[in-house]
Amino acid sequence: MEEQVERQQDSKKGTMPAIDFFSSIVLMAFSVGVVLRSLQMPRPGGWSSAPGLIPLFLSACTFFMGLGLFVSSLRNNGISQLVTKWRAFSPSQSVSSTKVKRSLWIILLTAFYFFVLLGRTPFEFASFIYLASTLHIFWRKAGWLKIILISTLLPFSLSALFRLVFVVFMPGDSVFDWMVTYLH
Amino acid sequence: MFSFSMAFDPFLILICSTGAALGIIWGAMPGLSTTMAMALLVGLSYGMATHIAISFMLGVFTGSVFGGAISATLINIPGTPDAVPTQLAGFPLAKKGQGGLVLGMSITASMIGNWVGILLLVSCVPFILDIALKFASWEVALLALWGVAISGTLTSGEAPLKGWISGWLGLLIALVGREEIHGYERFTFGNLELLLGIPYIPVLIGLFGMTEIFDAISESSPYVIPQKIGRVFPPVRLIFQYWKSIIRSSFVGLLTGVIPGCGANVATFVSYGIGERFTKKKFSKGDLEGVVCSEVANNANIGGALLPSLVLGIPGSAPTAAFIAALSLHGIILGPTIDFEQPGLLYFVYGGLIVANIAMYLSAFALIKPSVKLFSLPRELLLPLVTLLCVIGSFAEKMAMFDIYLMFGFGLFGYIMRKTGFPIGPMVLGVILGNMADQNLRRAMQVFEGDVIGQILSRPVGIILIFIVILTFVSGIYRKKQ
Repeated sequence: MEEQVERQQDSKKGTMPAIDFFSSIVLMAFSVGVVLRSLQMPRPGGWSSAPGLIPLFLSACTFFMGLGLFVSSLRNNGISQLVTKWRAFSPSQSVSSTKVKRSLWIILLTAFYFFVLLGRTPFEFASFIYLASTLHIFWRKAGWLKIILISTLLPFSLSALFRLVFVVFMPGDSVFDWMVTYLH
Repeated sequence: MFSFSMAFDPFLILICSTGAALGIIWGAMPGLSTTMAMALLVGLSYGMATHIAISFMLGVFTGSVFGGAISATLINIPGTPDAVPTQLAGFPLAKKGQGGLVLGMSITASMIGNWVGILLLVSCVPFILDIALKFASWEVALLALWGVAISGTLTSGEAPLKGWISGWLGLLIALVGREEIHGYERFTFGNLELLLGIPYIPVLIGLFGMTEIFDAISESSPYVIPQKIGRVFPPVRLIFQYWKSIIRSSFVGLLTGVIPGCGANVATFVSYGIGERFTKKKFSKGDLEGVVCSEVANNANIGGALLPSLVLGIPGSAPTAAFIAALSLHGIILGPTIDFEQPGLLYFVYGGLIVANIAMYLSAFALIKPSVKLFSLPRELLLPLVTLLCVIGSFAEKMAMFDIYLMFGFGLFGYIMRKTGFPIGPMVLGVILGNMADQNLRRAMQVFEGDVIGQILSRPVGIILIFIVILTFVSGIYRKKQ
């Protein structure tokens, strides 16, 4: 709902045509790339079964849809709004806004959890670090003890449920792996 | 030896009910799909007696198909792909404190859908088989394209073009990897991980789950689902009020189930779309009738999908493929001679479906309150916890870290899409249906070679579908102009 309201507000403020203008150009460039790549694919049994047939058809359609979006954004003064927005853009102001800060934090923390911790350390340990840091940053109402308890208990209970009941493997190792080996 | 009454043995009822309850919990976890549950059960069921394995699998199948609606309604993340329309119509109502009614209606609609599916499965076998057999590669490809087009039209409000772009991009994403006709590698750029294609589970979890997490946490005061969810049991008059949608959606669910390859995800999107057209309502603003359309269709789809699986040995959907595989491990080969080779098996399955349906209905109502309690925790606490489920869901199918990286990438992409006004739903459907559209369209082109126009014109079902696809695009453009 908030997304719809935000979208409507953006539309009213006139930022959506500017976004559409930019995204339509990216889309058309992407479609041309896929068209060229599809044309380079081999055609062992002629065009009818060629691996590039469907990508060619879909990317050509996407190009024309992008063109439609481009035309529609032009009609709604997309270029002038993009230029105005670009001129008014200040990186320092954007980064200092709470919403941007929170977005960057959650994206960076999640990236750290996925790319650095998971797979290299046991699932329970990686998840403990991720949960403790995320809850500490975003759940301001909670005290340290509550955060540590949740961050410890939850990964262990999830791991036990999935590893022992559903027999699903965890990324990295799980402390319950030895139990499964023993039971078998 | 099997029989109808055997399914009502108290021990088998207990097994089936346990399966239904576990299926509901499984389905409610973001990204843990019915297909995955059934696939995991293939190995597990080997150690069980055949009748126990069938009862348990039918319970899990029925439960998990409904389970997706719980998280879709309460945290805006569909537990299973087919719960996306339920999410669109149900989540806005949950935010207004009507989560209980939405879930109550979902359960009732699921039960009705299941009953209709079972009844029609038993009574309409010859008629439905006749229609389904008219669907060859060309028609299946058109059906897939229509599914994506209609989902684009429906989810993008006043900008259907953005919905179609999103769907078409999804179809393109599905084409990454080694294609199955010539074995040529498309768009892999030498990456071995991409050779088998982009699996739709991490894409689904990334686009819905991670996007929701990034977006909701970035808000200083994220939305909260009220703990008081109001009335849970839907009033009977409300159910009767939607009788037209119930009947229509039952047929959509059943027919899409019978068509090989079209699972519950196609059924729910098509049913939701047709429902909006018939009722002239905008379900995505929050509407119980939208929930009814979606839930009746995906449950009626179970009966439909089991029909070709049991009678022809052709899986109607991915979960039924796992069902066939599990039975073959027990030495039961499904096909046209099933009634001679395994007398009574068909009737045992009918009985099992009835038990599973009742068990699902009772377990689901018992699980509503705990689910609401769980999902109405503060977002700052709940969403990081959901991240862990997203990780397990993405990793479980192939046990590959690459799938977790894919999920993260698609989460970021979904976040950008959301901010730029592109709907996410059509892209997910495109990724799910892309390979089906590609293979069937090329197969059809090979069959038609030399006389494409003549062949297309000689297929009445295909002509009707082309007409419907064109109508979908034209009506979208017309709506935008209005």
